[in-house]
Amino acid sequence: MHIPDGFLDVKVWAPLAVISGAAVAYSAKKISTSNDEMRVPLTGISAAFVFAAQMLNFPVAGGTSGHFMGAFLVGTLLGPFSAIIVLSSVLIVQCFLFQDGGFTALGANIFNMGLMGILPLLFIKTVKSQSVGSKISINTVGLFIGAWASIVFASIACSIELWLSGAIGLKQVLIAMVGIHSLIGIGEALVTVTVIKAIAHARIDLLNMEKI
Amino acid sequence: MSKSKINNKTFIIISAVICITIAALFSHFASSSPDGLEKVAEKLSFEQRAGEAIVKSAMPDYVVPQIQNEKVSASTAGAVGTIITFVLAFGAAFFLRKKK
Repeated sequence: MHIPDGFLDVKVWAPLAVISGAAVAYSAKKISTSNDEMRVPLTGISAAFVFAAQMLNFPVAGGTSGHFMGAFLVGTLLGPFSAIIVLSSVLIVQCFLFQDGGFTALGANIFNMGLMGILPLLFIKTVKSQSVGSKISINTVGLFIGAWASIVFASIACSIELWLSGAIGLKQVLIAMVGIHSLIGIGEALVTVTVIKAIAHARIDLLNMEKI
Repeated sequence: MSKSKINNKTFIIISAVICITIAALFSHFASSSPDGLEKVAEKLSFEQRAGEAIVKSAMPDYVVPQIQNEKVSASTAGAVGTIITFVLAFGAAFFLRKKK
């Protein structure tokens, strides 16, 4: 869902660059309050995983592919602000080193895949524990729905941006984008559930880190 | 009841190996079909809006132009990208962390 240069009008990408810049600055301030020993290495690993997994385009209907996004997964593991830092790192590297996502659209891409991606965390509690050290339970259905919704939310934001840029009619682009991303979201959900289950199997205590 | 768990260092190393393996090896099996947005742009004919990339990248489309062998080129780009992304996010978290 990486928007290239040219798709968006300056009146759309410039404000989004400001909003995303502010979100990244605020997230940076938030994660600086963490004291977890594992937060620093896990932030790096999460970014490496999101970058690598985003390379794996999987086929969906009608000659279209989709790829993992990752914001909801990282948000579940580390928290929403860490997810913003992780997704921004990935999108910056993709934009500057791999020409994946335009420079002018970087703010919009961080907004869609980062900010929209963590939005479902507001509604869904995916990891539950009574207190630190107590039994941790994983809400698998919530994980699945949240990860699926993260992609759909991102595609809705992307559609609105394209419409505001005068690229295409709102209804037309919404139907097309949400339609295909509802399918891609199933892939996102499967990867998210698999990774969280794998982490739970190896080190369930890591899911109990403070969500920042 | 409590089974022996892998320690922090082992967890990070195993995870890093998985990431590099995905980027350098599994990526060869990725679908080359257009992604959701590209396909929609094609179908609704606004793809021509895409202009020249403003920033010229060293490894456009996840290949190293200097390496002739396609597979080696893609694997190198994937591995390099994964490592750089790790360093960037790790560095950000490291320099931002609470000073004791």
